Amino acid sequence: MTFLQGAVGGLLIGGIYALVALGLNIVFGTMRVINFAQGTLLMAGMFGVYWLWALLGVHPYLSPLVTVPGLFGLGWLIQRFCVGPLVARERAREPMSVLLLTLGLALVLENLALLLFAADFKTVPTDIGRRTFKAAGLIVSVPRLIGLAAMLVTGAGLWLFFTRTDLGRAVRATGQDRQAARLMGIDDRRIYNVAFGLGAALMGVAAAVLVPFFYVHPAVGTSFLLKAFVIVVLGGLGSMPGAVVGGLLVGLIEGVVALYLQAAAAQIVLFGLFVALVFVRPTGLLGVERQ
Amino acid sequence: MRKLLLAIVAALVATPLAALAADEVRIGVVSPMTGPNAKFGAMQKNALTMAVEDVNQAGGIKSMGGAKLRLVFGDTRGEADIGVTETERLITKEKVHALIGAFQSGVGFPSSAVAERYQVPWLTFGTFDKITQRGFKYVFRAHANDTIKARTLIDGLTGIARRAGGVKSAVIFSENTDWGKSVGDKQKNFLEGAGVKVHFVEHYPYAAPDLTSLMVKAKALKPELVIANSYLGDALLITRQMDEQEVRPVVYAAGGGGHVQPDFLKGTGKLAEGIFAATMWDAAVGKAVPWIKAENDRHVARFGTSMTEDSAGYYQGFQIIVDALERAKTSEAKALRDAIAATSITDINHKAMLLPYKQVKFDETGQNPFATAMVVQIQEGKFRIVAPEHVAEPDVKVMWPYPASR
Repeated sequence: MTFLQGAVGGLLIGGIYALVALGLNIVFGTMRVINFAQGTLLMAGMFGVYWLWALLGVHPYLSPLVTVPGLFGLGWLIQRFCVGPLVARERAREPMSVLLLTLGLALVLENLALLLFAADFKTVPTDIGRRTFKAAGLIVSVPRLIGLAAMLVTGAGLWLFFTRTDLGRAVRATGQDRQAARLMGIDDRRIYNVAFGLGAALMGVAAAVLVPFFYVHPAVGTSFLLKAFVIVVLGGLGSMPGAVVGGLLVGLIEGVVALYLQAAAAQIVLFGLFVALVFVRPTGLLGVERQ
Repeated sequence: MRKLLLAIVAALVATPLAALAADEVRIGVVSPMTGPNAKFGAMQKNALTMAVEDVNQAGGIKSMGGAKLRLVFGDTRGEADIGVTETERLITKEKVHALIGAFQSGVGFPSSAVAERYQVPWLTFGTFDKITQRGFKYVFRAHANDTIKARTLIDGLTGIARRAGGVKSAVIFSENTDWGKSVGDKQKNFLEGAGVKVHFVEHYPYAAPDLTSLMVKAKALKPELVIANSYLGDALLITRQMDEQEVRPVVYAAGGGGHVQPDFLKGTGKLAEGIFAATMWDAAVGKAVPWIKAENDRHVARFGTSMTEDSAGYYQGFQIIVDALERAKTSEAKALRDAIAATSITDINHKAMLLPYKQVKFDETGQNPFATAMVVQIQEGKFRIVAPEHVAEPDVKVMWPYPASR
């Protein structure tokens, strides 16, 4: 029973991990850029959720109506005016300078948040925040379950977008071969803006489901970002199903290992497995070899 | 002519610089100003800002011709390696004359070693015993260490428990840096000494997004006492997840840190009621010492909250440096160090007594042997002192058992 309870707890938080990893993966899969600012975009989304609630009384679950377009716009602008010009100047396919730029952006955003909102730990008390139910003797936290469901729905939506729409296919094509996509008449710079915007917009979803049971703080993105890196590599760089499977798997491993070892040791096991996997299967679980 | 001109220019440039250097004493403050523990850094900065303004407005260090004090902040981001480089920067680039730091023991332990190496006096805030047990000459701690805090908590709890029916078993959750590990093990020893069975001391990462498994493990053992040694985010998470996973101890207690912060009360509401915590300071000490109440009221008026155990501790460290500067009549490192080592304050109205003890002085290791701690309980959104008996607020009735468990 304790095993199952640990597994359930792990899977539920794994849903949130997967959402952050999906955002990271969209940007990486398209632009080959690891976005170190992903965690701070999540933080920005969470502050959006918090202020919508604090000032206007908007329930966190309704906040994506505002935060998703807002973050999409923010991501678009960051790519258009900040990352994009640098990518255009860099010849390398996986430009190091862009990586450093996103790291710089992360620091700027985090410190901006500290300046604007102070280092307070903000919480949003909702009717649903601490609700639980029991199924087959297992305690399930309602807000975390909603988080998992939101991740699955978002993942499915993304899958439809990438396979069924012209824009989605264009994003994938650009990710696979930028030059070829260009020759087919795809405006790769616009696609990059879309990809970055999408990656950021997903943080609006993650923020909405996270805030009811978590806290809001300028540094809140850091621990989720670290997990997301592991998940993205574990599941396969650029692979959407990989991010979902990887997220759930990381949550599951953490949850179960922490039952038998110290919680801190669970991290060692997790990262150990991760290093081993990189040796055995560098493309990740669901990643595809590319030249 | 040219030489004369040069000499005049040189003199003009040199005079204000020399005057400036003589007029200013720089105190380095090593704190987490950003990162997960930035809230603590902000509180420490508030208390120190008030303290430094007071001294400067009252005419600076009188024995040094009214030398003004200036705080120079170094941001550790809560990381040991950054704490070390920031300490080095404050000493070598900013030329600080003394340091206060570094809040987290895991950061202060290596950072204070840098101060020792450069021979700049370091006033510790941080409870890890070993900070002052390395034979250092420049590292001092005026407040309690983990041993004192852990003993105070366990003595207080077992004393209250004896009157209320006793506790037989316990689990301890500790964040996995120096502070959590050290204080957790000490609590375990004291508990076992008092005949309480300790099932485990579990270390978890303090920025962990989820601690379900920890709760599942604890729940299976049905402990009567749960002790958490946490910073802020993890204190919030543990308190809520205990409730979610139906961990229902008779007593829920904390080693200090996050559980005694105002944000903790806001984030947990009813769940916070009845939690016991070891702390070195609380606004309630002002009830017995009028100037402390006045000082805290001023802090509340200006910053909106009471001081906290850590910000009060930084304040105390600062006042000890001021006291030593007056006696040393110089900010020269060796003389200042000797003056700090010779500190002997017994006047309860001295500002270094914000954490009130019988005396502030340092033994040969740099620890104040008179430092004490106390146990508070959260009641109706306030911290009330419940132990040890001689400092407990007389009008307070202890809440027992932990109400959220009922």
